[in-house]
Amino acid sequence: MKRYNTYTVEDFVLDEDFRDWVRGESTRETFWLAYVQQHPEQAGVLKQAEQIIRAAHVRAETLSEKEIREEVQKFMSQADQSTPAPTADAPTRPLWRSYGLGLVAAASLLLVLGLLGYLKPDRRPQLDGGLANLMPRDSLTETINDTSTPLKLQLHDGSLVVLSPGSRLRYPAHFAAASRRVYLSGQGTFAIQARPQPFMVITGDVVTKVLGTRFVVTAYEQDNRISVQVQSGRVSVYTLRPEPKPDERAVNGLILTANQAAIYEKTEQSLTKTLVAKPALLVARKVDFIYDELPLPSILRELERSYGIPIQFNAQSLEGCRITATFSNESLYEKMDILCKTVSGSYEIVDGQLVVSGPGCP
Amino acid sequence: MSKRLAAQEACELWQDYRAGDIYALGRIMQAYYPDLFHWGMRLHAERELVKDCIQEMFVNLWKQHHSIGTVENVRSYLLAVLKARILRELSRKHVTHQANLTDEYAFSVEFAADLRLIEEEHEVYQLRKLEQVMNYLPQRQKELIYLRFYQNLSFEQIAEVMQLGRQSVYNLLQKSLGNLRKHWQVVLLSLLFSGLV
Repeated sequence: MKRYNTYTVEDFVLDEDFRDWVRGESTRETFWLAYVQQHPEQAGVLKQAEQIIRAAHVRAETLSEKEIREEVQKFMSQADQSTPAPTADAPTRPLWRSYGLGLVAAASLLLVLGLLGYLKPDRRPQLDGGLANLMPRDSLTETINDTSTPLKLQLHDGSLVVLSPGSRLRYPAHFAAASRRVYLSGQGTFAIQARPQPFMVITGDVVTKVLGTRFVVTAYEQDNRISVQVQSGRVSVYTLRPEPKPDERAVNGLILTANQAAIYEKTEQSLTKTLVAKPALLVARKVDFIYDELPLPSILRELERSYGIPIQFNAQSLEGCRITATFSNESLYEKMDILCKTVSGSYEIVDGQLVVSGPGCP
Repeated sequence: MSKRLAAQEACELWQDYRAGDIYALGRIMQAYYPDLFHWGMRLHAERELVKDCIQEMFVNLWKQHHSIGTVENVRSYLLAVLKARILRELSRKHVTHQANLTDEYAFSVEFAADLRLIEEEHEVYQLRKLEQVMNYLPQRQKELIYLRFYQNLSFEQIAEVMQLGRQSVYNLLQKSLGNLRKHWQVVLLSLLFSGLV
């Protein structure tokens, strides 16, 4: 608590809280009203401070939102041009080699996006217009698939996109040296060339950032939720909601690994991590999972490796649980059900991981 | 006000920009444009020149994204960079009066008292008087009061923008406020007398 009763005029003038109050921007209106009443001996000091603050007011310049948008757009297109285009394709191969990344090897990802169909103009005043206008339309190529069959596109860096019917992709004819950025509305399957520059798929409030990878992006405009599902590899997903409420510091970025998913609820503007509906094996295998009197922890660790999903469990209490089973086509969740039932346990999905609990075996 | 970018968020956008995200820099530009423009107009009241300088500043920042470092406060950093750019531009244009960049530049701000919800006439009068006194302060003191009260900068940030030591900024501010108080009392006195007459 500040010791306002010892404050001088200067102290009050420089006090943020007091200034906000004088300007009618305070969240502590009642505090200050009460304070003034309770400290008549400071009335003169408070009055002087208030007057200095009021007198130091400066009129805003006339500057419309439209002018700002135009300036920002101008910058975006100028900057795009000022960035030297990647120097031919010559260094591509050495670059891959030095980064240890193989084409298409890294990851695959499924992004389900529902955009634009659900905007709330009241809560998002200048932002949507603003962000939409940040897209340098002029310098981008736009491809719309209005046919009824998927459309295959090749981007300048060699990445491939299969654009689903009714979908739209905007992308630069040449990617800037520093990053690769495309704007999607609808659904697309991406096979991204490995490059040191991040590849970003921007869809409204959500950005999916990947380093050389293979993934599928789906965006349905009428959907209320945006979800990103990773089949393998590693991507980062973050939202562009620029107005975090100071008291609730919700996550606005997540790292997703294999079989994890992020869900963005537009109503709540919340981003949470979970698992995909049907986790896939990282490496397709024909061989069945055959367990013969194996301790449950070993099985869980193998599943962890096979699906790339972290599984949390108490290794000590489960060590005594011996399992004999054969799995072939069961999904991960079916396998987990069977395993957990066998030891009278259960599992749940928490923060993109599986958490196994149970009494354990003697 | 609430639409303003929080400092923390600006820092995150700055990181993204340094990592090559032009979109992040665009967000920063959009959010801070009104402040930067207002500041630029104080240094030189020519809309197009100010706009051009802001444009060039951001294009330049984009070119430097590989090499640029972290900054403590994005907004005050941008204000400082813009000031340097505008002053450089002006000295280039008016080769005849080669101004010393750190001292001799013009700074024009017109304080206009906030009279909202002020009903009593004598109070309006006092505020008008005080506003007048403020407008007669030396330029550097006006600049400081502007940065402190209009742009809401801290002492450190003002020091960065005005290229002064923190202590000098503090002294200058005390001096300005002292001036105001002195004049304020003069105003008050004259008001008392005028009341008596």
